[in-house]
Amino acid sequence: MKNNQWIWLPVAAISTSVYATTYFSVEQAQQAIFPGEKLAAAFVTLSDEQTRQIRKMTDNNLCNKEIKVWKVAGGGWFFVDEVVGKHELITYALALNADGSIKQIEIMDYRESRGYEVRTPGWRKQFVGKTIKDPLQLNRDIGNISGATLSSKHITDGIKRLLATYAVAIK
Amino acid sequence: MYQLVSGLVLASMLTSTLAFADEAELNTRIQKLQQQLELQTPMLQNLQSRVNALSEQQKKTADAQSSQAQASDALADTSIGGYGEIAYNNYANDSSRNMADLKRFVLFLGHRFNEQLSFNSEVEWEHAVASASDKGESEIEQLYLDYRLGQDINLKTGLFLMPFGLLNQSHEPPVFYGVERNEIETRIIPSTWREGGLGLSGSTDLGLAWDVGITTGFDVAKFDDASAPLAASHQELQFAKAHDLSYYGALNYRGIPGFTVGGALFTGNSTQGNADFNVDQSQPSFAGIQGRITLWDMHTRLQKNGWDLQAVYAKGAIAEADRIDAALLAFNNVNPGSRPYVPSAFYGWLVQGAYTVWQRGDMTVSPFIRYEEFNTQSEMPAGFAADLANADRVTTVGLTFKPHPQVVFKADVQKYWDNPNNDRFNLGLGYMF
Repeated sequence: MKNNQWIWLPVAAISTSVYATTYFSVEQAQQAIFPGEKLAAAFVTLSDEQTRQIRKMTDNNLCNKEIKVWKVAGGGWFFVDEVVGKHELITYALALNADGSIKQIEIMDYRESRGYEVRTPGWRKQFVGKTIKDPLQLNRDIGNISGATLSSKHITDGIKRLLATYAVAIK
Repeated sequence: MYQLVSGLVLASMLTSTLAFADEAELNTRIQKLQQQLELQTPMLQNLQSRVNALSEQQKKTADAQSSQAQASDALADTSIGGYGEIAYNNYANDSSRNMADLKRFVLFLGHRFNEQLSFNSEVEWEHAVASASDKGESEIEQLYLDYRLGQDINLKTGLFLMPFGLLNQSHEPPVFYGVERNEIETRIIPSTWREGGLGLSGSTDLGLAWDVGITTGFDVAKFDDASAPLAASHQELQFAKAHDLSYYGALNYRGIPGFTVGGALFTGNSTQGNADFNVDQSQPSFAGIQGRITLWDMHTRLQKNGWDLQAVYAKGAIAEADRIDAALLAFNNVNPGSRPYVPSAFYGWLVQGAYTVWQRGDMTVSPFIRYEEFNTQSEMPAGFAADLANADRVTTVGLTFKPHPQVVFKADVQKYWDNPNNDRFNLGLGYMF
């Protein structure tokens, strides 16, 4: 019976750690990027023609038709989107300045067991100021996370797709 | 007066006649209505049955949609992936060694039970056909449960990959250069190297990733190949002897985009309480020997502006190799030449450079060059000689064409400076998803 106390050790470790593992809710991400601003939902459903244009601009076959976007009262836009990393979904937020350039990106949820480094400020900062005119290519203007190539690539592709979506359907 | 009475009678008769006329008309109307009702009743019944059928149909559709949604929800939690590769080797000095091989076909199956708990696995078939009379292998390469303790802390338990070098955890063909995996991360780090146990990993906001764990280790009694000391003694959780547990730790800095630098250390005894001898006393006895095996590596990678530069150094040591080899010598004296001798130390290093010279959308062409040196018997116990075939310097020059980032065609030429009989060119294809 003496040894039984050890059985509770992992249970205690796990029970104290059961809390939300998402980094940001939508509201938290909005307030982190646009503190104090009012954001109004302006969701868009893309037409087939718009989808075709976005695909052409990004060389990418994947395209979400339902765009979750908010207009910022003081100027700017806020998107929430999901891409698949290697096998799991990554939820991220993209904030644009009023001129359509990238203000900030935030990783809202990352479920893969490796590649957490896409969350680091250093990696996310690479996107700041970019527009649809930039290449947004991994290993060109965006540095890779070694060991998490697919996550890095798919987030980069997702951001490029949203910039094209902004140009085609929102601006 | 008479006139008045007559008038009243007449009026009354007229009225009654009129009343009779109204009743008849009403009866006729009622009859007509009855007839109409009789006609309409079957129509109503028909309509009712059609409404019933429609509502039944609608319910079925709703049920189907709901179960479809549930099925797709379940499917969204279960992920399938995989990778595979086929290679052709053409030897410059001995064409009888030329070979084409379906090296591996791997299926990944994962399931997320909730936001914190998930299951991951990889099932692998090597060399196309696995049966009692064939050379192929069927194996479970990974099988573990992952538990997210916190936002950046992960606990895993099961059979999982060791965080060593640049290739072991990222071993899918489109991720590495060259048809064949490099010599260092095959002979020194025994990729794909996995152990069973418990591991904790995490990363900080600065990009510092760490891994620690307790796992099964090596079984030196299995040692049967001096050209790859750890591949010759790893256990892969196949009735893995667990008398001696091992420990590992790794640190990687990935705080600058495109740049990684890191290292890892693994250590644990390897004679497993003389387990093999205890079961079968015709085997060599390692009684009283611990045979600690320690492996460490340092690695770095820079990927920027189309460049991909890598360097890996790995070194392993087997403590008490002299005593292990003395036991093997005693065994070989009775069974001549049957067991190779273990080294005290072994090492290897590589440098590699690749550059993407052409890119169109997702399509890329990247030539690369790699130089590596290894010696799997760099230190032998006194009295035991190293075989020169186990040390070499290798230059590999090749081309990688990716029609998509997850599909690759490769071609390369390999020059083995000390054992030219291994010179060859290779062709390969691979994919991952």
